[in-house]
Amino acid sequence: MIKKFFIIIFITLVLSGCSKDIPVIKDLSKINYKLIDQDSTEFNFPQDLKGKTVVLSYIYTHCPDICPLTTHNIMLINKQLEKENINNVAYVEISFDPERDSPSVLKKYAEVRAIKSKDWHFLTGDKKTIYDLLKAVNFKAMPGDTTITPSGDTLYYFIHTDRISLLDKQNRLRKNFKGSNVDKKVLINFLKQLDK
Amino acid sequence: MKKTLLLFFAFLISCNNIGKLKISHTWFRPVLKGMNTALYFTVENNTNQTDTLYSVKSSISDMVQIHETFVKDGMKGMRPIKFIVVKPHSKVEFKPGGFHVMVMNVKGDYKKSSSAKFDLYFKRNGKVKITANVKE
Repeated sequence: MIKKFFIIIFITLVLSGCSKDIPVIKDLSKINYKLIDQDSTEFNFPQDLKGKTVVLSYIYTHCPDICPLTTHNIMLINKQLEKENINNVAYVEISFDPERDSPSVLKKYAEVRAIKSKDWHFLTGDKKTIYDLLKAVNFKAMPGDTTITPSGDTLYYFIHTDRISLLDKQNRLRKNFKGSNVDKKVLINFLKQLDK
Repeated sequence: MKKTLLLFFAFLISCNNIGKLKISHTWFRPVLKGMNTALYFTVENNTNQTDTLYSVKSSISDMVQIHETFVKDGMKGMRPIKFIVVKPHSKVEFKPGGFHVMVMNVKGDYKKSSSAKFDLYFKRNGKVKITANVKE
């Protein structure tokens, strides 16, 4: 009888996949960053996301390779979650190049990829706010190589952390993944645990 | 005797040109006017001689560079490289997260299902024209 009881408890725990098992990396609920989204609307990060599980990434739109790859991975994650009817999820991509990534540039970046979801937020802001936010989540981005264009302009690239993160419904950072080569199934499994 | 020599040299020449350079899996990411994209493809060198890709040009951009992605202190970045060597009977893949051709400040909108032409310049094989489709 006792043996049976413990087996049932064990199975219940395994099936529940308790989200408490995923440690809190950083509680962002007490901080708020005033940012602006691709529609030029003010966005309070992360407070405006409260109650939703968040797939969070960091990009700059002049990046031709790693950042579009990260966005593409999130698009695939989004497609799978929609297929499974998991809808209480927000997708956030924060630019770490706010000087070039204005809301209209971010809107173009979304449009060309046919990203139309109202739950998908491309965020930018003033440089100080963005860099304070990046510091808080331990995301590093610094200008790297530069190229001079035929018209004499200087183009710069960034060297940056390659990351997709998950925030829980209480605005707490719970899990970091490599953005460009994330295992989508693993991320979705973690997300499901946080979504419970 | 003369005939034998001619045949011998013809054989030597043919040995150096067995097969040819094959470019496949050509594609680039969607991009709007004024923004950057990356061109990807695979170069297969089926000859007996090393070849070197040293330049890429296209009418869709005045600035096209061969790039590599690198990792430093746990961070990722990209930088221009001058050339890529393709050894005999080997292939080099230009793919997301690795080698790519950066196409900067494009002159028009290139959405899904559109295409563009590019010229790849090799030291030995000269100009190779390709067409790449847009896809995600």
